[in-house]
Amino acid sequence: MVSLFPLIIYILPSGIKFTFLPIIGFILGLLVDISTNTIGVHAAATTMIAWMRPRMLVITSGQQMNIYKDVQKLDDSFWFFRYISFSTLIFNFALLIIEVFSFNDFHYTLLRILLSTVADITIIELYYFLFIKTVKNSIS
Amino acid sequence: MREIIKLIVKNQFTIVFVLLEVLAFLLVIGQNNYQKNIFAGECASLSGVLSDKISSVNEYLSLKHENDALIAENVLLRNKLELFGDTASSVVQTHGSTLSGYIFHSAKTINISINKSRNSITLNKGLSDGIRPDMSVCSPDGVVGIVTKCSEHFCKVMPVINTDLKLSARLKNSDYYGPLQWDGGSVDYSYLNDIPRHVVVHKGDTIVTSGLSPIFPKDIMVGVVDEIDRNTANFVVIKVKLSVDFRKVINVMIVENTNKFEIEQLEN
Repeated sequence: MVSLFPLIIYILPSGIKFTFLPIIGFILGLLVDISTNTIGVHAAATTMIAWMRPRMLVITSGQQMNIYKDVQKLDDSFWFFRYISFSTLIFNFALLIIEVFSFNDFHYTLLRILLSTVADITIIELYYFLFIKTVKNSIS
Repeated sequence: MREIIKLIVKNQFTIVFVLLEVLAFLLVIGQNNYQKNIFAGECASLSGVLSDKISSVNEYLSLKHENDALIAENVLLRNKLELFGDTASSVVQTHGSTLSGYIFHSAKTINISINKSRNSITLNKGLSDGIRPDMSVCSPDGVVGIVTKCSEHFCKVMPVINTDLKLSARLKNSDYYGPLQWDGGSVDYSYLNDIPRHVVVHKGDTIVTSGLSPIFPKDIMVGVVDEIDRNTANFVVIKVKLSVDFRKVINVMIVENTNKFEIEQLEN
């Protein structure tokens, strides 16, 4: 299954209070879980990337911690690609480990993680650049 | 207290994250049958390993009790065996040809003294069982002593731990022999005298009967070398750790040499 919804976490306003990030992630994941009847699986993974988000912004931008709030203002599609890629990899890693819930046949799980990540990145990038970025640009 | 609250406020981001992850995990294993089954299986195998460890510790702790039960069972079996043995025959083993024939009679100690300088042991076999004075007595561990007096059903033994007994013993690896005599001290040790100074003796060497008297068969265990005293003139005195523990001698064998009479007649 291709997950588009983590994009909501990725593009939350940069000024948001840190403490709310895991809560938003948890609620979002739980909503997805209710619709797919996998209570807790997506919630755990989404909470994870919500918690990782501030660090991920700093790591991918290569900037110091004190300016992370301005990072999202960087109008750099290559940076955005890196940011989405790493976050999606972590998201899929958490999601599939929890879904499989076992370390037996780990290479199959790893393959699933990589393929899901590639698919997710493609869909998220397309969606972002086709619908969000263009709308933003046309507004401003 | 204020410090703790400060710490919580400072790390609220991580604390909220951890709490939510734990909640999500609980939901995962609580609401999804697949994950619930796997988790239950893992818990079962973990608890299996743990209870295995715990039971092995418990087994170790109850060893004393097990031991007591085994001893009780042993005593019971031994008593039954004794009943059987008495009805069958008191001769338990014979070996060798008629030229050097020894007959073994089983016997039990019914009295033993170990705190005198002239100790003695009383056994439950006597003249009616074919026991005569000057037969030797051995236990499965080694030499015990020599029969000195016999009544109809009992006999008196002069053990190795009697200052009057001189036993011809030899070093197993060098064939030098000498008289073994007890000094009246510890019942665990005796002394082998008259071993020449040049003989190489090491601590732990085995000492056995020499077979040079018609009383004892050859090569019956006496003990092991414990100390070597070289401060004497021409001979060394060897302190021997006796292999028989006289505090717990119960089952013994009386050894009868069928050729003893003939040998003694010839020698006189």
